Amino acid sequence: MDFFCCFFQSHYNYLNFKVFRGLKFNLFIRFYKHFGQGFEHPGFPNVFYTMKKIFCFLLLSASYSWAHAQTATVVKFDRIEKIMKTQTDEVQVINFWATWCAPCVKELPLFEKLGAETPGVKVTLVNLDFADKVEKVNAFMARKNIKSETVLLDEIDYNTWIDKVDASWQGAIPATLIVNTRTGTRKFVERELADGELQQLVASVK
Amino acid sequence: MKIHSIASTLAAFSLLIFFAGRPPGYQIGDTVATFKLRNVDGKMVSLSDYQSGKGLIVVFDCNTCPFSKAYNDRIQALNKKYEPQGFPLVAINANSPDLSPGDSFDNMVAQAKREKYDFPYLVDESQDVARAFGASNTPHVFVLKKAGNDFKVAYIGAIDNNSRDADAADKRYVEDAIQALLANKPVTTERTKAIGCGIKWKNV
Repeated sequence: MDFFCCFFQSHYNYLNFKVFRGLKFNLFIRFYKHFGQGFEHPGFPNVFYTMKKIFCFLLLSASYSWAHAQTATVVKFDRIEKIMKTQTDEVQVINFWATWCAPCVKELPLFEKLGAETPGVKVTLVNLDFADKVEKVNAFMARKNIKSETVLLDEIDYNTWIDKVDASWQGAIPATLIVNTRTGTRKFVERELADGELQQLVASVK
Repeated sequence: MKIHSIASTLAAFSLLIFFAGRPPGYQIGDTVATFKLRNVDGKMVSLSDYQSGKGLIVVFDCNTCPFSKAYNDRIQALNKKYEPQGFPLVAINANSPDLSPGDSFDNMVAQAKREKYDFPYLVDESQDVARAFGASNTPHVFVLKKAGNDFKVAYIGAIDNNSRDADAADKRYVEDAIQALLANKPVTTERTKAIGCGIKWKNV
């Protein structure tokens, strides 16, 4: 490669001086010019200007999605109780899930869609991974770009709180509680939901 | 589009009816119907094979669930401790291998061999036994007590109250239940609940 590049050495020097000094970029320029077509000196900085713009765009869009993916707050059960009992105008949709639970992960987009598209609905994702795995949970949510509010419920003594969510709950996840806090009307489902079912359940408690 | 939404509505409703109509399974004190399931060694194991003991520990379990893995040592320890005292353990995997390939019969055989199971690990292919018990997640324990020729349900639920750390558990539900039964005392905590992986039911 150096053999080919030496033909353009003067141009590289010009570029290196004017735009970039880093070794990596230097190599990149060589690579780009070596395989690039129709290289002409006056046009070259423009090509780089475009590359720079693309790079900045990628950086910005990455930071945008990072800023909008949620991170999980570690909470105790009183927080869940508050969501279930505080009277709000919105229908509360509370989904219990974990990163290790395949059907839970599969149905997460349904909750994301519901939260984003349905006015008057508040979605809370209650994660049940172990509390020392919160970083793994956050990385998972960033990767999947989860935007719903998420809490990690740090209560290992399950038997003390499962019945408080719903007496019929055996403890399997995924499980979902839909509650109208004004009327007290609630629906509890201990299984994976089908597409469209959530909207019906929300409508049934309104 | 309209046809599609009607179809999905119908599908959702039929699902709701299907689940609403499912029997809740055995309650405390219920007599357990006998069952016959295939063990990892290829032989059939029946509830009636356990007539000589004082009871049975039935654990709905599987290979893949993180909670089953976390409890595996404790499940093995239960059999080692209570089999000599008349309460042997039987593990049953009801997960559909179509939905959870890691729970196929071949993988069960491998798991039993790797972990050197000294108790049966049965496959509930039809899922009828899991349904009859009302098992919902793994591991889900049913302690059965011998009453004459019958087996009656004496405890339903979790093994203890700390899935993450056995040493940190301060309530050992299954052990407490068996100790009470051995002492001819009433079981104090007959029912507990725990987070677990849902059993992978077919046709859902």
